[in-house]
Amino acid sequence: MKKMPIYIQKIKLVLLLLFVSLQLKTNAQENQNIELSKLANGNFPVYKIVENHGDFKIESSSKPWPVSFIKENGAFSEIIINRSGIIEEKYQADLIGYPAYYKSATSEIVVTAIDKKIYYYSWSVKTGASIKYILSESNVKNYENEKNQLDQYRNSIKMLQSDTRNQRIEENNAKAEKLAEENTLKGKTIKSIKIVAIEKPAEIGLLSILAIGVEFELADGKILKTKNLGGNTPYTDFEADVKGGSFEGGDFKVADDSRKIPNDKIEISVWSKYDDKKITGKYSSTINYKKDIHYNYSGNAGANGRAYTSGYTINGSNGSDGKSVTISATNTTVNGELVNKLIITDTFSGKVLAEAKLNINNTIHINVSGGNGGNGSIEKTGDGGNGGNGGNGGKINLTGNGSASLKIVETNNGGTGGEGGKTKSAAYYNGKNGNSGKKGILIKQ
Amino acid sequence: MKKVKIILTAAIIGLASVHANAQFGKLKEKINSGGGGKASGNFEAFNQEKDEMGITGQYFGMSDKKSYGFRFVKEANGKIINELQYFEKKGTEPQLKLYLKESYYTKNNVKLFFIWVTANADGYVELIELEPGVLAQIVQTTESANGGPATLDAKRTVKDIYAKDQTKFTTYDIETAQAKVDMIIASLNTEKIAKETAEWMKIEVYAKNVKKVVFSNQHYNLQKPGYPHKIAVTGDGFKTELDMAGNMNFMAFFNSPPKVSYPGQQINIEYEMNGQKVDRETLRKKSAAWSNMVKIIETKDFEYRQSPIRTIREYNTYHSAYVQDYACIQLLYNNKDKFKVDQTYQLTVRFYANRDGENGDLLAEGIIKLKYTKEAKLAFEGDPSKPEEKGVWAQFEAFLNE
Repeated sequence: MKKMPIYIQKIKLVLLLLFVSLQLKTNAQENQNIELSKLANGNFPVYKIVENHGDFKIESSSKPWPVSFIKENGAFSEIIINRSGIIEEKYQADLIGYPAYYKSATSEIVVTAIDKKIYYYSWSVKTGASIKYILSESNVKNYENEKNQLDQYRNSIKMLQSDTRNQRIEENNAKAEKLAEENTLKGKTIKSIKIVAIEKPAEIGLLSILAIGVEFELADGKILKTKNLGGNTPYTDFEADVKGGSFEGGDFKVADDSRKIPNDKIEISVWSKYDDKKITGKYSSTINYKKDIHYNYSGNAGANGRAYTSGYTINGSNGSDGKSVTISATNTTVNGELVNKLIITDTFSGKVLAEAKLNINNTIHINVSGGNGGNGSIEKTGDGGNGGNGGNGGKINLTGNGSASLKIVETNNGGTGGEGGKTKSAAYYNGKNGNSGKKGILIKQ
Repeated sequence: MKKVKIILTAAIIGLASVHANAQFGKLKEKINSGGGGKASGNFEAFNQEKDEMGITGQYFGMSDKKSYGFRFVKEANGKIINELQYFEKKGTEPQLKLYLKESYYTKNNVKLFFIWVTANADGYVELIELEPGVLAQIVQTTESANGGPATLDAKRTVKDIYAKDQTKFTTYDIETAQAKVDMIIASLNTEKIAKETAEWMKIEVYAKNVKKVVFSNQHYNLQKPGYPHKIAVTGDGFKTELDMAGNMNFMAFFNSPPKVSYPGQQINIEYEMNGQKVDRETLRKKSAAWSNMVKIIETKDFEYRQSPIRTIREYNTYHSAYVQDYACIQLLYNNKDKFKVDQTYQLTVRFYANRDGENGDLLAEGIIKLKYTKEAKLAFEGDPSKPEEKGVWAQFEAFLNE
């Protein structure tokens, strides 16, 4: 076997070392503390990236931008860019121990330095970097190369950040856990519970929302509060027995039907889920039904004929009629207020749909419009489908001694007829438009 | 006779058209061509005139160094018109008239003049005063005519600069002018957001639910279709309890649009039940299957104060199938052995700003009671009378085993 000359072996070795060193240089992603240490405060030439319909051009700006790097405790915490020499922009390290970029509190722009080039860009986890400017002493020529280098840096440095990031997450989790432990009711001895109405609205009716917080006085005198009172005790740490509505997340929502509100008042009883009702807090408030109410008994819209179903012609379905309802209104007095007691029934079936109480100064809004007809199908090779007919508006019968004083806004339009489907072929016919439904009526008896 | 009328009419239309084009002026041409205005003459006489804005005078274009005349006219025929006239030829008629956005001037001392020469984005001409005697000419390519200037969200690019004193071009190159324009627009935007917040807080549904997550079994009870930018629901349809067999939808109200307050970040949604937490970002990083299933949500897609409607589980009539958020289904699955028919279980939903997989500020939080009804049991565990239809747990297990 012929031996390779020494000089060839040496050349090979040098090439190999060169290749390895280039590889190391390409693959080594150094954090910003190292990258920024290669730079000094001063004026940097600016290259602007100009995008035109997906093509990127690099233009050299006439004025350099002053940039300074702020170091604290051995790490670069902030970059200050004096944009065009007139606007001071401050960027803070994303992860002080192992920064990958510097972020702004008010804009999407972030800043990263790689090999003495400062990239001024926005970042999307989906599409990577969108570079606006590159600040560099050396020439910048190719946008794609610069973007690839930056994307590669951002993606790979994220892995290297994981230890530092996890450490920060753990620290934050530990703080959150400590806060949760201090504020949970679990394992605490409760002396008393106070329910606090954060606001006391003068007008409370069906579906009103009241912000209600809870204070727990512990045996050691400490007071824990729910979030809406400025505390950190979770709403899920206590249970509530509620009358007249529901209570979740610090909001009491009055029921949607007066049959669910015994004695025209709301009542809440609260206890710690870890205390089994030994200590309870109570709250109640009367209701004056001073809130407008809304009911929707409109008909359903007809389905559209699905388009381009070759060989089939599909008509739009008819809209259904709005419900015909009877509203019985009776004058009464509730908690010192003049109120109409309303019973809304389906005129045909006689079924009670809802019961409500409404202050005589408030309004019931009721919608019994017919549903719109569906559109006919659009066809390529066939007749277009016919539009469905709109449903008729429902009839509202108003009865009882309160009907004269009842303020009502009714919507009872007939549904619009569906549009006939068009055909794409001259050999076929377009579908016919559907007829609109008739307007309903309001009858006061 | 009829032929003569037609010829005359055509000639009049032709003349009108020539006049209209002339009125577009070289300012417009310069916008389209990036230069090339053909100014003729000097406008030194304009420097003798005074107006209360201090704008009127002879200006030089940075790109062509030619002189132009700008005249601010506050009043004409007894009416306030606040008009900026642009001259590139000597004469009494300006080549272009731009109008002041009055509120920017009265509230922010920003002098912004605009005109839509045509309704398209490229027909928009805008001038902003950078400092007394210096005007930036701006183009935007994103918005069509809207009755006022392009909105503050429009992408504005400085095309040219006009200065009374040519030495100003050593201070203002295009980049410097762009930076100044960005700063002016950012200050207007800050005020706009604050003003919007005050307006939104007047709406009871928003004021009572800001920073909260609300729930409903119907999409339209949360947000009227096509109304992500304004409140068009009464809030009556927000629910505090949902049947797990039915649709479970939710939506967040933010105190400012996340796109503005948390630019360049992601949104993470966390679900909690019985002390266990599951979040979308953690699951997304678990495997390729999860990554495909749980899509990234970026703040740039949350440009309003109401989030898009999210669903835990909802029947989609168009696809004749359920749409489900497997992150929440994972949490329900973790709790499945605790579920008893007709019992309710509190689910907490939280929206966080998220950067690089790390949660930041809590944007909204809400609690809903989920009721495990008889129907829910059949839906989740499967209906023994319909063995061909998989229950939710079986579907989910099939996904986990992928």
